Amino acid sequence: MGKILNYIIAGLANGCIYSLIAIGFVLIYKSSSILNFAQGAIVILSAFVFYSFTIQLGIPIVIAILLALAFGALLGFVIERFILDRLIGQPILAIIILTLAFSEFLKGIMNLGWGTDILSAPQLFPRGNITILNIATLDYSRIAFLVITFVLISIFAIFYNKTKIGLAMKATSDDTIAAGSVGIRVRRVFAVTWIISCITAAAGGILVTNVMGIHYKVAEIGYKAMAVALVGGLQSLPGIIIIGPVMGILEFLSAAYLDPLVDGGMRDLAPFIILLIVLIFRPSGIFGWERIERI
Amino acid sequence: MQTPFQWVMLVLGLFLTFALPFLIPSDLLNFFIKSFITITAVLGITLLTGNCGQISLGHTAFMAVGAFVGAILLNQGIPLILSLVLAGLAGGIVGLIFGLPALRIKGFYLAFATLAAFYVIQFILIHYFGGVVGHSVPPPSIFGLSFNSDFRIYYLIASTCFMMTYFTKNITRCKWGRAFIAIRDHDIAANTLGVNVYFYKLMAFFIGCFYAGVAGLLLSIYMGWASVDHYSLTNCIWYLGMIIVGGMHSMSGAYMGVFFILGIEELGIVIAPKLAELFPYLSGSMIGAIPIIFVGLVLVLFIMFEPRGLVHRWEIIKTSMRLFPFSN
Amino acid sequence: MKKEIQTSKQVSLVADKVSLSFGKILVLNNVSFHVYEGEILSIIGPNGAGKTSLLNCLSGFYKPDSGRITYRGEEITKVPIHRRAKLGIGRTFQGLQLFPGMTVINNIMSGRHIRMETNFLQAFLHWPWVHREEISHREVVEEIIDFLEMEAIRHEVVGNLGYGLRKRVDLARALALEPKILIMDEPMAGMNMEEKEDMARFIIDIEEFKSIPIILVEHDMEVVMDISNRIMVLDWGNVIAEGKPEEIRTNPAVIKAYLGEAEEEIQHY
Repeated sequence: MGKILNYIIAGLANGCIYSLIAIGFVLIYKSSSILNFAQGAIVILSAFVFYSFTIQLGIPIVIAILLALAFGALLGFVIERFILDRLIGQPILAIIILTLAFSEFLKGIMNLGWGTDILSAPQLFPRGNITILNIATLDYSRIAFLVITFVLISIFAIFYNKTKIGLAMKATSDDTIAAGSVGIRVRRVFAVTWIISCITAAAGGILVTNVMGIHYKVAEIGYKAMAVALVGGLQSLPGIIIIGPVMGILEFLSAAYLDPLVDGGMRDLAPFIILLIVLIFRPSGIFGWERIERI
Repeated sequence: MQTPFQWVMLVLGLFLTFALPFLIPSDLLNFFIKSFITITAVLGITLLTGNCGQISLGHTAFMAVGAFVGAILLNQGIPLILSLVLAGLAGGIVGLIFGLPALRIKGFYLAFATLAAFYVIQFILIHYFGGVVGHSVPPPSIFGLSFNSDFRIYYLIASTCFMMTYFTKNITRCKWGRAFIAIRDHDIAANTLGVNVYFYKLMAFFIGCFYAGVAGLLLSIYMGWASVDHYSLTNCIWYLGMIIVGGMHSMSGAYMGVFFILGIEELGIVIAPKLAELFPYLSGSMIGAIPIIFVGLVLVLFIMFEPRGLVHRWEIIKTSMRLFPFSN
Repeated sequence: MKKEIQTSKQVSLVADKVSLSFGKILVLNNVSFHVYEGEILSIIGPNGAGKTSLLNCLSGFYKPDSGRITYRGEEITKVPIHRRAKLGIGRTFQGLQLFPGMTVINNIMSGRHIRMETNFLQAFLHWPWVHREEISHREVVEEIIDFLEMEAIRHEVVGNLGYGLRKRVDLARALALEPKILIMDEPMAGMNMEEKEDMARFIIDIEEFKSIPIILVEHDMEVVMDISNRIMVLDWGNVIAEGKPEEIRTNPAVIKAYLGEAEEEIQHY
């Protein structure tokens, strides 16, 4: 019993991070119809940058975190300003390959800049765990994941629902042209969207690599977050917040119970299999809207 | 093949291809061997994605399927040509199965589903078919002539590639090719014209992945070894990039795109050691990273500035030459 | 340009109490009508009356909630879309749905799809089977191009053509099917006077030379009154009138449905 609970909690914590990253992903999709396959690379790149700030440059941790988030913001801004322009209106294939190629490019840069060993950033959370009711153990880091992502997502939710810019973002995602014609500065909304997206990616990266170590292969977490977003339906932000932890839990449970049967590796595969199964029954994701083509 | 000029170019091209090993240094031959293998694979992408519009991010996984099946067959002594066909069929059938999602989903969703397919297939190959270590592939032979040197392998691969090119040409100029394009452009309208969209979409996957299976086996014959390491996700991305760079809708696009991108990659491989000397403090492997950085960057730039590819740019150049001096 | 009414009353297509809802919205309500061989039947009605939805049921995009559609004696209510083409149901679209990357000839050739017999293995090798077949189909396509006076643009990429010409390619493509009934969804929409006259002429020619019935959805009253043998009027998913043009013209229910200005337009003819 305790073991299952442990897996569930671990999955829950990881899943929250998927949700965090997926939010950025869905924001970009809703506003500019671009699937940012490079999200994963940005996640890890930010973690590498954080590593450099702390370990290589000796900057105090808190400041380094802020700087890493600022780096994320800067990266988002640069992408929006220089690449996005050229992507609007292009066929889907071109957009997909561009973000994928860019992702590979970033991975190459990371390989060059930081090598192929797994690096460790300074511990953000105390080691050890607490035991709940003698049946489950909760790592401090997992608690931190849950709390921090909860805080960040809440901040984002308030921003999105209660501020003027949040409203502008909602309008732009619904109908870019209409938003522009009522005076919303669409370019600015795009810039804000990308900046937020990269900040969430950076935050997710810093958190996750604290437990998993920093290595450019961890960028695959981006694909898992994307799977979460697709299962959720790419349209509904609240949906993502629910689906993330669910996928995380399923991932860990399948690793726990199916790994022995298939010799390991289920953890990485589980999100994809779940996605394929969901798409069979709901081709637009669980909370997605179906596009009706007018004839 | 409409003009005498085109016939001449074709004959010239064929002649050059077959004379090539005598004209160039032998280490350059590797580049061409790799190119023709890649062209065979990418022709499948041209049909599946360029013509039929189904985005497939898992192409190298189907290559791996063909490679593994082919390797096992060759090791059992099955003749080369039969092994190639069966490798293709294996790739095609697996492709058809993983192409089923295409019947219900499109665009981004389909792309990601094919990515998922890549991981699933890779998993299965690793865990049930001895994937990471892989299988050794003996030099195959036809009628006692053994393909045990790069020189001979080059001819095997170039010939297979040309045959597959001929098939591609034939497919595109008959009802199948038109059905594919119809599905890409407007699958609803295609339905009203009597095209069974489900059937043709699956066929596109089957044929495209048949090419992948054949190319996969060719690669493992060349490498002497079939292992999943040769069939990476990065290459899946590069193949799609190649048809964008070359031109999505044509075979010349596939040829141009492959040579161009592989050329850039080769450039990266050659320059890497020199760069490593210049920047010794950069950790990480130059040889691994530089080619990827080069190709990634080139793809990003191409999509940003010339998304219709080299074929299109070539058409513009031809037209402006014809109109000279009235062109701008 | 009044057409002689055919005396043969052979039935081509029958819709029997077809009903369709999208959620709570009732789009078609027990719509029933016959289409006879050799006639042009126009379906008119205000916007939102359900005309396109009705056509989509006939084509197979929508499956009606209740009711039956019978074509040449065979029930086709649930038959998949691509099979209806084989049965001889041709269709042109409001939104064109042409293949923008192909030339005019290839667009029309794609209409020959169901008539192409060569199998895959033969296709792989091309000569001589596919070559011969392509040539024979090409002849049919050229005939259609002549018929619709499109010789000048046969090699143009469709994406570059103007709207009126594109509608003609849409029609040509539907004809390439060798349909036994043609369904046209607002073929005159967005055309100028001249283009409309051309299109009306083509529609009449098609009906005359190919002897196939045509179901026409149109808003242009003048054209409808001119070329139709019979007219059916839909309003809010219901058939409110059906009959010859002169009858419809003076039908009070129809006039009411169209309100004010249309009333003047109809009475003018």
